[in-house]
Amino acid sequence: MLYPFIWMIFTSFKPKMHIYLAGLLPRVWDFSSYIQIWSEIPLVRGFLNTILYSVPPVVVGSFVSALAAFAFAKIRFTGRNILFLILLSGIMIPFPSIMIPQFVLFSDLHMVQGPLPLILPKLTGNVLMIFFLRQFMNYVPDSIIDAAKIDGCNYFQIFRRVILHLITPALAAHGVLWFIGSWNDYLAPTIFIKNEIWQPVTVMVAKFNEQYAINTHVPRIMAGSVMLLVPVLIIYGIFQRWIIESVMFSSVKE
Amino acid sequence: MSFRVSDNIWGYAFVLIPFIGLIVFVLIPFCMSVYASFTAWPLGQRITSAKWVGLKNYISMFTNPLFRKSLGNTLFYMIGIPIGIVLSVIYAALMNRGAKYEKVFRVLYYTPVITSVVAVSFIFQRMFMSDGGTINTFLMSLGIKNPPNWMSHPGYTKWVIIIMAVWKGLGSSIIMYIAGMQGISSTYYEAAKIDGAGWFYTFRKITLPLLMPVTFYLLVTGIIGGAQMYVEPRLIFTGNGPANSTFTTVIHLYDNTFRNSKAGYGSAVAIVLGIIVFLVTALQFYINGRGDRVEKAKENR
Repeated sequence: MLYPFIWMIFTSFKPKMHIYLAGLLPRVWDFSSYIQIWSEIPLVRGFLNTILYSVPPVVVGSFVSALAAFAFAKIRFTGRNILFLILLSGIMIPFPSIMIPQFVLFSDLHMVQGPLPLILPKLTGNVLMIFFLRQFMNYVPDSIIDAAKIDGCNYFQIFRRVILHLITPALAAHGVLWFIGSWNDYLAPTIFIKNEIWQPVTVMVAKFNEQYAINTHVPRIMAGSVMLLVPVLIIYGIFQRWIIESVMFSSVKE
Repeated sequence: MSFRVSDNIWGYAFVLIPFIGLIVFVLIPFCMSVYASFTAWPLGQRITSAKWVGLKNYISMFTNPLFRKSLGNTLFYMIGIPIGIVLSVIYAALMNRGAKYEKVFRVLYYTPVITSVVAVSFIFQRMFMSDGGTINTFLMSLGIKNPPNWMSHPGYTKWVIIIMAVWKGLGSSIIMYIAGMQGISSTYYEAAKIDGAGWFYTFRKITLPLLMPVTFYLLVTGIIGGAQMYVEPRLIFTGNGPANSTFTTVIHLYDNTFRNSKAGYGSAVAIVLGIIVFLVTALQFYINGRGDRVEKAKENR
């Protein structure tokens, strides 16, 4: 399972022609591919862009989703079921079906030179997340909420003081998955971000790699992939137990 | 303020932002896509000035051999879905039997799931190359004289992508199956044991049927994701791939719209793709809903 990653790492340290030699380990340790990638593309900027696209929007979006899920699960407002179904219909429309008008919209608003097209849509929440959190909140007994009401809490206070604590595991599980998804996003940035300096690191590395694919400089390409994978692998290494348990936990609730 | 009124105000306030998102980022663009699919619309021009052409885009799409080829390729990639399902149910069953390093295996198999598809595409592109690619080096060491030309022979190119997609998705489905297996009440197994059923028989008659919801979920999400395949064929192969063997419907859509500026035609492709995904998703909701109703009926009895 992990062999492709091991192969990637060792290959990235080989000199160009040594990839045709037998053996997994490099015979000479060559760091030039890394020097090349660091000097050729603004990697730090790329990582900062990626963080900008995947951390604050996902945090805000998760909060917005949780609030909406709370309303759908626990507040009896007129038409909530039909409104929920309308919202749910949104996930039946795949991204490729709406990306052209989205691009036109963003470019009419002069946003494609900046970072906003990858931030704004996430701020309004994630329908799939609302769906799962609502499901999860159905298990929260109404008596807790009624008790808080008697104590004089309004709905926002109930959400902040009671609900948020109860749903933290589910919220975090879906938040992490969403974060990883937007960290690895490729199609949307290639369409919406026309200014190279605002591109996320995936797009930068893909460009770097495609350029070296032409003259098959494999170690360069692998160094690119290493740069893309290492941060995610480190985060995963630290949180792996927790991530997997969260995923298992949320898939049971599905 | 009465209860009812205040409930309404809070409720609407809490769901307002996602609705703004739905309208601005999904529904309006979708209506524009539908309208644009009936026009000749060069990207960059205002959509309001695009010329109405009726069904022309749809006709030229379905008579376009490239579109049909892209749809065929996209469907072909879905062979990976049953392969992945079978493999993951086997792995999950083995790992769930209390294997010694079960948790370690889970972590290892899940690693490809969280990694960037961009990075992984380039790794597989290079592992499958004919000269110096680690796959063919391995095959030759097994004594296979003429290993396949994965990257250039149209009969093999799709398999590079299928193998990668299965490898990348396996961990996620294994976890889903393990979670499903742990949700099965142990009384079923105890009863089967008393009846003297063997492991395989129990697996076939109890575990697999009770895991149907997971299998169905994986099938549906697999089809929805597969219909939107874009990054892997785009990065592993250049252009449409050797003899147009690897490009997908979304690549066809992207190239026509953003490279050839034919946004009207691209929108027609987008709508057809949307209809396919819509039907599959609707089917899932329908069958899930039916399952829920059956459960509720049982509870009420």
